[in-house]
Amino acid sequence: MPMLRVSPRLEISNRLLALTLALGILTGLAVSTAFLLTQGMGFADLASQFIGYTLGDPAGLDQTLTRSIALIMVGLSVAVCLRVKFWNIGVEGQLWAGALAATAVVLYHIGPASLRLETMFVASMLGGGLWCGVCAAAKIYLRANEVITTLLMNYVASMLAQQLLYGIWRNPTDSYPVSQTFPRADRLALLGFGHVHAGIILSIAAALFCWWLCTFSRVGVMAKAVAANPVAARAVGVPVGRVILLMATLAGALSGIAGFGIVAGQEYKLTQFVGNDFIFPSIVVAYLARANPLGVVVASVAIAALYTAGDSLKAFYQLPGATVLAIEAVLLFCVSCFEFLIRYRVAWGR
Amino acid sequence: MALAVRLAGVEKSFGTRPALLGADFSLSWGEVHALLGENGAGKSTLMNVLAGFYAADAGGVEVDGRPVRYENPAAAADAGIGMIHQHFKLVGPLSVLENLQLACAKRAGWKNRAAALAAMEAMGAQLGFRLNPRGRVDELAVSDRQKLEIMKVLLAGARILVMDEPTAVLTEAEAQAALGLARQLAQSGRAVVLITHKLRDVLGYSDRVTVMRGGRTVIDGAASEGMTAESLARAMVGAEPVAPLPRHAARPAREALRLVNVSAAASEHGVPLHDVSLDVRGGEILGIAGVGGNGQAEFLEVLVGLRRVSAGAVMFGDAAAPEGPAARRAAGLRFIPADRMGMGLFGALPLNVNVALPRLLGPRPERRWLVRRGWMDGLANAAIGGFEVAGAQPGTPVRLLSGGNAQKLMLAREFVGSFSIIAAHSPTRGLDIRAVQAVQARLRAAAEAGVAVLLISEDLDEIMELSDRVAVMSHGRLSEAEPIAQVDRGRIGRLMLEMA
Repeated sequence: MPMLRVSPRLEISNRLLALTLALGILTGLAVSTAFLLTQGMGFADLASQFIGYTLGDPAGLDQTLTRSIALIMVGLSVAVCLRVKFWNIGVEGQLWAGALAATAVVLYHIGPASLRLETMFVASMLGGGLWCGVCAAAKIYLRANEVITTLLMNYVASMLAQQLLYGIWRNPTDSYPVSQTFPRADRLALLGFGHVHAGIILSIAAALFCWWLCTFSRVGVMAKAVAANPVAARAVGVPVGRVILLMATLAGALSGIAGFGIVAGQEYKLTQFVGNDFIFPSIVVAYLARANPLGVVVASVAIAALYTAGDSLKAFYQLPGATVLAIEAVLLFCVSCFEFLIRYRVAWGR
Repeated sequence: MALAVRLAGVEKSFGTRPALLGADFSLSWGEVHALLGENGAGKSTLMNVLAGFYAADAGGVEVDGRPVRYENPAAAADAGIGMIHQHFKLVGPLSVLENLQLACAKRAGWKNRAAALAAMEAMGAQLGFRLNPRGRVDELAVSDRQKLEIMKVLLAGARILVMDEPTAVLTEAEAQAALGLARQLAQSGRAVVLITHKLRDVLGYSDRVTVMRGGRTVIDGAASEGMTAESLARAMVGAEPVAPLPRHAARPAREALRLVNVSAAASEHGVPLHDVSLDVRGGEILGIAGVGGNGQAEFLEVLVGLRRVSAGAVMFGDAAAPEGPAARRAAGLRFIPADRMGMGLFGALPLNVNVALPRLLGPRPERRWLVRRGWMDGLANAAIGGFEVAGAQPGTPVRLLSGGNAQKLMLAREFVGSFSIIAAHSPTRGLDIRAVQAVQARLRAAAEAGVAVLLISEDLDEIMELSDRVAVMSHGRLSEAEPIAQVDRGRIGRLMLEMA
């Protein structure tokens, strides 16, 4: 009797990895398409909204690229942590911490005026790095689970932001809960294409840096060892705690820079919505990219395009905003289902 | 005698790797049949085909004279075939009785706990041992877990028992008891297969022997009587095994490693160290004998710098040993852990990363900002060539290596740079003859080059053969080291008892 035979694979080739990822994404897109078709959209609408507008139309492309600036940073943040099996569920908190630190530099005129942007940049890294580094330290020295601590630190940061926005940072001119608008000199330059600002250069530079760090640096090799077998890593002399602390702090700093990019390049002030809706997409991006920093750039642009399309679905087809979340979830689900094929061989046979 | 099992021309490959190339095997009722071969000869694979874990690609399986084909292990178990794996299939957090109920309740038809308990007691009486039915399995000694496995298989109705390397994890006395139990089961009319690579198991305890080499049967069910260690070894290895190298009289140099009244806390399920003192000079091999689980793991962790001492001092030469594994490695310490995939190598990572990693650590790493694949591949190729790691490429994940090849890689990783102390814990456990000889030759060569070698082993033969001096570890204490010429097995046995 012929039947389905499932057996574990011994070796995993790069081609297989790429193939399963492609299959997962295609299946996810097919399921999402079927879902959207039941919501009264036609094929032509889908094509024009998802591909034509998001990547082909200047206004859509502008929206997509601008959104991807922060998404790349938080995606890298999760990806770098995954390299040492540290689950960073706290990119929003770290992003808030970075945004708050950068805003403080503007509001309190910290540092020389000519280096204000640079000071904001460094402050945002310190804020975000601290926010994630604390969780890593708690994991190493107190054995606190980082999924819980990074998650809860999100709330600490957003509550702190609320406190400041409704308190001492409230705009004195109109009493709205937003900070004063940043002076022109304290803003990131626009690059002449819609809202796309200099932050995109930072994002791409960060991706290249992370790629070098994970692939070619001594620390990257140590991180592989820590992820593969922490006991053996410690025995051979890898400073396991310091490697985790370094990678997690760096990851927090990356999310912090994302916050800096939003307040200094997009909003020009601190608002209540600076750090919303980043946790889930950051995980999706890192997962789709298989924690590869260069893959994060591609995945971030793709997910940003999905959000751009989602906005127009909301406007023109009255679909709820949760549609985008549902599509992201379907993609993630399909990709992780196909990972079964990475570990197991499936064949028809006796 | 009637045939219980006949396997003829069995072939099996995994992906493109052939494991069996036409193997034959026959088993009679009432006998203990030894299945002998080197690591990777195909012994376990062949028996896994019989027990329904693998489907054969070709060849026939007959049980009680009828051709059969088991789709899964449950079908084989229903037919009375029970396998006792080298890595026990037990549920650690459950009790002894719960494990039995989980495995056998359906087949044995137990309606409740009382029925299971009664069956367990009866079987225990029949076999001549008793286990606490309420004891947690992960707190049992290894030998008791094996007894539980045997009981589990018998209560599930097994008449054909396959024991995979039953003595590999046991001490001398325990091993003899286990082999005696195998004999007893055969005398009760069952058929027992003993998968082993120890010649002693074959010569002392089996009726017939089958020898496999490279996926084929080379001796098919010959009477064990009349076999000699030499004839079996030749069949197993294919050529005359290499004779052990003659040992030059070592000229001990200065003291390289000293432990002064060291005490340390126990690991989980382990034993604390009490007041351990020893000194090892450059150029000598100091053997530490003793039954496993008497503090050896803690001892190695203290040496490597993973476990803090609560009292006493570890000295390298005349100075206190630096803190932490990286500094100790830099100061000339190398180690080979008993659990090479746990504390030694990185199974998920390729050979090249495994070999390159130690060179990137410590105060003077060989590469900092640019670790190229080509550099790591070069190191890996040197290790593969220099230490004869068979069937591996720099990019192969280490978990795919056989036990012997993984151990050779472990040596290649450790025997690098200038070093003055090697601590090896059970370095030849589970290896075949040739790998054992390769590992032992490396340790000897290191000693002759002036390195202080510390050999922690449960294998008395190995200790007696390699060591210049011997100490015994028992209950976390270490006896005073004595020159090998002054001790015999009896003396070591007495030391183990006296220190209890």
